[in-house]
Amino acid sequence: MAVSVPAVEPLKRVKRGGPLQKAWYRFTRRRWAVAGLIFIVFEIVLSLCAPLLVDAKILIYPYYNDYSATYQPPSAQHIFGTDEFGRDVFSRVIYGAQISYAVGVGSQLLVTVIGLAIGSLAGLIGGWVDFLVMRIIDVLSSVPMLLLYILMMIALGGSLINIILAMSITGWIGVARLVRGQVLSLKQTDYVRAARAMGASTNQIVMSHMVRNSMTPIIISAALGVPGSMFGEAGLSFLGLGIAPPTPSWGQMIGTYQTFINAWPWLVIFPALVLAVTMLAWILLGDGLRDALDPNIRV
Amino acid sequence: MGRYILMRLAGMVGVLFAVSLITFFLMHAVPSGPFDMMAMQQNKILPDEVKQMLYSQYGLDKPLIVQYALYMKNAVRLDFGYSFYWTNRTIIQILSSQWPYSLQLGFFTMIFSVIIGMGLGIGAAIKHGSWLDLLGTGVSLFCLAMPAFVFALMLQLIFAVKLHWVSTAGVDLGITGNIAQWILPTISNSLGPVLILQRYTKGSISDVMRSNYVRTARSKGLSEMRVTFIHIFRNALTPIVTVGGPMLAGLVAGSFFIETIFRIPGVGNYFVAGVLNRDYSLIMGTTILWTFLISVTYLLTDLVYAMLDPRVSYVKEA
Repeated sequence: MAVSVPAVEPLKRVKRGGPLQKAWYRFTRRRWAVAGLIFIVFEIVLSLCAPLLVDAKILIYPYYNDYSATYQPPSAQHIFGTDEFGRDVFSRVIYGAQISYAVGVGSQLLVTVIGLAIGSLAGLIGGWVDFLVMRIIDVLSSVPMLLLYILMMIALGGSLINIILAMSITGWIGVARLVRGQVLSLKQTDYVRAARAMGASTNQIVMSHMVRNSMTPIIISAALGVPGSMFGEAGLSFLGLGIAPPTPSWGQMIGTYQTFINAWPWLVIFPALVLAVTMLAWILLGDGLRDALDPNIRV
Repeated sequence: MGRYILMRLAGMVGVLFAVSLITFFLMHAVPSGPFDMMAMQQNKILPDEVKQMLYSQYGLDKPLIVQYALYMKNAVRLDFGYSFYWTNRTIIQILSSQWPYSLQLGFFTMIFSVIIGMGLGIGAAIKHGSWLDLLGTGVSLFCLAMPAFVFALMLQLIFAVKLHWVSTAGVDLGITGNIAQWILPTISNSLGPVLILQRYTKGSISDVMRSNYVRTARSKGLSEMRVTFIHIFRNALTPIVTVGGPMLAGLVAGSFFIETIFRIPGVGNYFVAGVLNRDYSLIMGTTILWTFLISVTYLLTDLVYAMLDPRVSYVKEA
């Protein structure tokens, strides 16, 4: 792209502290990103504490069928209403968050580990290993993704682990590409050559120079990948191929009740709203992280 | 250049084989076959003897690798066989009658999102910080956070069910019929494309606007119109081709969610039904069509990009 003049806005000065503290300072300047972070922490704490809240009788047990109160519209007792078995939709939405977060965060962790390993191997060894990895990446990025997800889900069955696997099967490509590029360019830098000349082992070089230098883009891509995986889970469950009922998941609730949207709209609207707000929160967090960790990147 | 294209075509053949191999084995790893599903839909269980007979009749009892070789032998001659579910219809017939629906949705979506997405992107870049910029940021955040199927359901609830502006009856092919039926599917299908086009257009134009040659053009006294259209747009819109190509390929391949929700009988809809019915030949045919489409568009995108930007060259200098 064209040659661009240096960034117009001067960077905010931070007086003291290491790079992490400076990044944190820059992050806290972004109100929307902080709002996203607060919402995410709140949601995680709430969904993890849900069983305790159920024990304390604050939250209704999400599998409790109450046939005297089916299809209740939102009220003080059931703030999101009830479904066809009289189950409390609010409590099911909170339990659904567990699935969403497990898939979102779990698959991004897996993707990062796999991508880091494959990318650095391909970059370091080069030769036929690199060739093979790049061809695998070519093939996997040409497969229609949703097709792969759907076939995998039917072949393996809709469990939490399988959904995480399905979300990871193509997800590592991005991380691997990124790490490979970093390794290839860092291999040529003077400090890596110096480290090698001083007798550092390959292991040391990879760990202390290459991985550490690739950490920022990896963290950013993982944070922005979480809503993608959450969306994938919701989509699969929406099609009826994800988490099997009665375990609640947002996509599954939206998919199951979409045909009743006219009669009992709260069954669809609340899970959909929570899903959208959660995705928004993660995107704001990811954008904020990118700005805070890497002030040179400007889009 | 010819050599480069030949290399890419050879790579494409390899990718097509690899993808078809993966799909073929994954598909056969799925429990229960097409005949079980047919029996199940009539609440019956297929007796083992009948199943074995059917399997030997259709060649499904042979080892998988032999079946695959047989399939590919016919597929390279563009014979994708008959559908297992829609008996009496060949895959070619199904695709050629259903694909136009996906094509129409894809083209409508492309037109809509180019107008909205690029419009917002250009506005945001030229008038930085204006209401158009804010609107663009708002729209792109909305597109990013709102899952398409949720948006589609909400649009349908509001405009079809509550307000009765359009019906929920599905769509007609072509532009002569009830064209209003295409509005909701097009808008809900546009979330992703609008987002990508808005962000890329904005980023690309902002970059070019800060470049030295634009400053030079301004300082030598060219009119603002000329600078904007000749210097900024021409250079800024070239990189957008690289995202536009693959996007178009994704769009004309059809959408599972939008087609299902709005009852559009496109390939996405048929594919999901094909997977649920274990329609082996339909799954394979659709997959090969999609992979072919995606790789051809990637190749064309790269070639068009090289044509538009003289700095890009795929020929190694001697």
